[in-house]
Amino acid sequence: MIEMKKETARRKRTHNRGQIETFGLVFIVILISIGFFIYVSYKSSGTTDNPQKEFTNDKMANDFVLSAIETSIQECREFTVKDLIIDCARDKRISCNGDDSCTAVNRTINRLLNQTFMQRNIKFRFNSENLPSPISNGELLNVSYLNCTRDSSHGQSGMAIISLYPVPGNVFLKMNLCN
Amino acid sequence: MNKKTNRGQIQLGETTAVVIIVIIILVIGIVFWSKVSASNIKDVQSQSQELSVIEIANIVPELPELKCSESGVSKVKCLDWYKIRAMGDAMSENSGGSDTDGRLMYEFYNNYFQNKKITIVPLYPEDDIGSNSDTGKIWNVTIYDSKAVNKTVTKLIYIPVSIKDYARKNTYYGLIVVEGYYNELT
Repeated sequence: MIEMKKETARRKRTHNRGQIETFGLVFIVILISIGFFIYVSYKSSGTTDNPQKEFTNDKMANDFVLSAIETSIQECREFTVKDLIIDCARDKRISCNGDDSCTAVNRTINRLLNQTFMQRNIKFRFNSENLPSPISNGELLNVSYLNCTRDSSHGQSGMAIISLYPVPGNVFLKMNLCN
Repeated sequence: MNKKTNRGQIQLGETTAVVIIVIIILVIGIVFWSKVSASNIKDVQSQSQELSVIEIANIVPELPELKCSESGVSKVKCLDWYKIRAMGDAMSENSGGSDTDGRLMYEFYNNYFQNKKITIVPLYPEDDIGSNSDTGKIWNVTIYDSKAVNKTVTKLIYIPVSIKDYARKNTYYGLIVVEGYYNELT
């Protein structure tokens, strides 16, 4: 009698252990499945390519610089931005509505930057090289918007090289859009 | 005998429970996977729409119908203001389709531009070019409009360009604005 009871108790324990193992296995399968779902959803929600943004970064900077230097100045239509930059770097003979060439070109470029980038909240850094030291009302052709600095992560940049011929040297205009 | 039957029933119940759980997991997986796939398809469609707008934005400054040309040599990133005006006038008059030549012209460009709207916006200097003498406001010239107003999604690209006015001997700074109209993805 006692032996039979012991045998029954042993079988019951074995059966319970089997149930626990089965549900443990199911639990592990569920955990792995949930982990897989989380992984897939994380991968699929990752950053996708944005062609529009890439295009803007690639083209805007270069197109802006190339278009801006050919633009006529509002106050003295016979001159373009390029003419005034050359004059500013050489001898400042041109006067536009009472302003010298450096001031006029600085004002014009700032206006173009405002109409193209600032109004659309695009981060940029525009700077020039080989132009005279700062003018009276700020730095000449050196504009940075929304904390886009030399150390920021840049997209593609645009550059125009303006020759000062017959005087030796070039003026460089650089436009960088920040990411 | 009775105990064996009970044990068999319990094991059968366990197996059934496991099968049901596996089926539930499979169903959840299929639903989840279909959602992820739908999301990916949406992304691909959106990218495709953006690329289509970008393609047109690249074509427009290179159109011989619009480009500046001096002594037979075309200039880079430069559009001729009078060519822009001529194309804008022709398109606005003929997109309705009353005139056969005009309709053919619209259809010709429609093959390339499809559901887009292309506008040239002179920005600087602000007077003279493109300004309406009555209102003093800037004229934006729409050179092509598919009039796809019933579409819900708009993709917009703009690129800087020089606009040359050979009569006034001035070069203006402006933007080519390309808008693409699409149905909202479901």
